[in-house]
Amino acid sequence: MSFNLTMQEMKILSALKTQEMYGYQILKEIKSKILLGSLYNSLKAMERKGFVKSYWGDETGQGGRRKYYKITALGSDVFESTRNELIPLFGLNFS
Amino acid sequence: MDHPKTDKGSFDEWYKDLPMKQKAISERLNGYQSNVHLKTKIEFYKLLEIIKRTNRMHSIEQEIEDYIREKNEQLEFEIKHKIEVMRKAKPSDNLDVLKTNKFTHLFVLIPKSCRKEAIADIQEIISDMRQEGCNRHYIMFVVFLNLISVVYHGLFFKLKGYFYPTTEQSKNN
Repeated sequence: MSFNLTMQEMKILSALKTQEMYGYQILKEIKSKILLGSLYNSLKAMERKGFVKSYWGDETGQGGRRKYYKITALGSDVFESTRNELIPLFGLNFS
Repeated sequence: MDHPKTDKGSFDEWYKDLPMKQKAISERLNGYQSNVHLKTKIEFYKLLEIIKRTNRMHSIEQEIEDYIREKNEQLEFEIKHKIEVMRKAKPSDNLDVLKTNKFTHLFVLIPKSCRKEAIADIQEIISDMRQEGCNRHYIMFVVFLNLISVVYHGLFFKLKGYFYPTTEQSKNN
């Protein structure tokens, strides 16, 4: 079953599986050289599909309030199934 | 004078026992009276106990009311104090307002959907890079790149239909 997930979206989902994160935290976690715009785009696309949920946190960072993202049950299922499809094909591991 | 006899004996016999009977009746009456007195006494003490209990309850209720009033006053004072602190604090400490600095004017460039979080993240990137001791020009370059990417992704995909009309048309079909 295909969910049209890009490699970047898979990485973001794998990062969000461990804990809820805000944009820059995800950027640091996935350790790939992507820019903020691309990250927001992926997050918005996944939010539209219902794979992630966002909410405004109470704590302030350096600039202002942080927007946190968390993986939904659907997102978790999609991630697991896609990972199980990819592992035997390419020997990839997202954990 | 002979009195007629009844089943219970003659009048003389009855008359002879009269003082005894009177005494017995008076004793019985006294007993009844004393019983009545005891009952009223008991009722009085019961009533007294109830009054005492209600008085105690009333005092407890008053204590509770006093405690609640004190707590309410304390809470009101704390809330007022917090509001004053929030008012006195800089706009950056307020949760709903972003820092008013040189990045504020970038509001116009960045799309509304990710404006607040983009600015917060960019400022965090800058502070992180400063802590690592990066060159000022490099920091500016990275910030510029990130900003451009946010603007590009925010605006360009909205104008995709304008730039690639055939692709959009085929998608719609």
